[in-house]
Amino acid sequence: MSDRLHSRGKYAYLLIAFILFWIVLFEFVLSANSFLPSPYFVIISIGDLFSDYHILVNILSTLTAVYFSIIAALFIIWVFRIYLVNGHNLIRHTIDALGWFAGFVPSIILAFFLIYWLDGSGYVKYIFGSFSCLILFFFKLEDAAGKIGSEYIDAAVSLGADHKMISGKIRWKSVIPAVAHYVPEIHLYLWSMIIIIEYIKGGSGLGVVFRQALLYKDLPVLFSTALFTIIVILLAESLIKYLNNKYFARVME
Amino acid sequence: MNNFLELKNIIKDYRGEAGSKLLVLDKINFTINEDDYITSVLAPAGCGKTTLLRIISGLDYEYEGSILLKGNKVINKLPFIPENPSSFPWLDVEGNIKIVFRMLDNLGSTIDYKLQELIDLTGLTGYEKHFPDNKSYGFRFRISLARAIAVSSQIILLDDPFKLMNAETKEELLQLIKNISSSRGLRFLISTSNITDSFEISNRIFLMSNNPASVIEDIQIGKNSQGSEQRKNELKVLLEKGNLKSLANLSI
Repeated sequence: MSDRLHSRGKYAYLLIAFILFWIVLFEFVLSANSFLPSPYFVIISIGDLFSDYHILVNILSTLTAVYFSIIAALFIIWVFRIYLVNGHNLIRHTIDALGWFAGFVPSIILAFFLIYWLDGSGYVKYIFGSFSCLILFFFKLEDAAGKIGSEYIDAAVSLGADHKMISGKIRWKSVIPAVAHYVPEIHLYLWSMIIIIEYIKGGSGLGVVFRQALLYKDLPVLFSTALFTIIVILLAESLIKYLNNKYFARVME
Repeated sequence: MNNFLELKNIIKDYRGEAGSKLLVLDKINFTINEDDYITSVLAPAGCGKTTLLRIISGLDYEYEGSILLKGNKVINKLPFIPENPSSFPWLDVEGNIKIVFRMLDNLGSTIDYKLQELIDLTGLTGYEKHFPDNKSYGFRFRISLARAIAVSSQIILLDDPFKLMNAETKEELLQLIKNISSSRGLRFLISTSNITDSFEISNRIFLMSNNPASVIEDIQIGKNSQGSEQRKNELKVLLEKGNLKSLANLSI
């Protein structure tokens, strides 16, 4: 715990140091440059973000895609939980095949494929997000299900638990923490992938704001959008971690 | 003397690659009588004690021989507490016991114990809402014990329960098992590789050898306490001198 606090403190110091460095260097020393905008212009650009770039609508679009994908994937996992935790042959082979495939084809290629295949559809990011999220959860779940200690199963069977109870009350419950602790990792991955898809495909979302800002060479907006995105991601990440620690902290030893 | 649990010619082997066989249990024969409330299987580490207990419990049914409980074939599984803690970390003490009530309910079995009764019996009073993770082995063992008692079986199987405990906890739990056995008439079959533990807690000890495991001595402690004390010391001396090759890996 103290280690975690220590490392958090280290990151906070680094962030403060960076901000101070940025203010001093780019506000006063290199105020006119093409690398980083001065803090003053970044603050001014926040107004443009709302009026010209419609940041609220766009961020809502990205947020919906990210969280819809996670919730949809978790719902599908919940529906098929009994088959998944028992390592049903068909499911296990499918997951293994997908794992093998994923080893050769990065997910960004799949994103490109979907963008050009479903050209014009606004659902590409939802389809990609849900599908990739589901696959990643499958991998995690298969891994976690393989690590359930035999002592838990032995004890429960000897106490009279039937197959249904073993699957639903022991196997599933024991893999939940592993899946829940994987959500922050998937969350970060989804944010980056969905912004990339929005950037390439257009439509709505934070990726579109980045694209427009780059198109107009609007460096302050680019910078303030990045800051805005980082703050939203960090807040969401903290909320997910808080919920994880509160409800899914108890893991098998 | 009425027989309570009889093991007749239990043979267990594991099949390796290319059809090779590894004999683990070789014709295990022993009988636990009605008045043998705490029985130990004293055997070296790695000789197949867990395998034997899993067979008796009904968890492993690929073996030869027969097991009779009061003269009848064992139909229901017997409660088995594994060496590693098996209490569920996502449930508190009450939840861990209540889940057994649900299992019994599903099976249509009667529930003879009340929740608080089991908590009091196993010394968990005041810890009802505590979770077992980050707790000691002793705490988790008490939860496992409460759950095993809840099943209302006449015998509980404990697989090397004291191996991972410190001396103080071990002493407390030895006493707890003795108390539960005498107050509730419950029988325990304990596997251990520790000579002192087995002689301290048991009415009867079946000493087993290694490679493959077979019963080499039946020590009845209650009958002749002086004789059993002498036998314990003899075993310790033999072990210290390294004269018991088949019992190497026993601990004192």
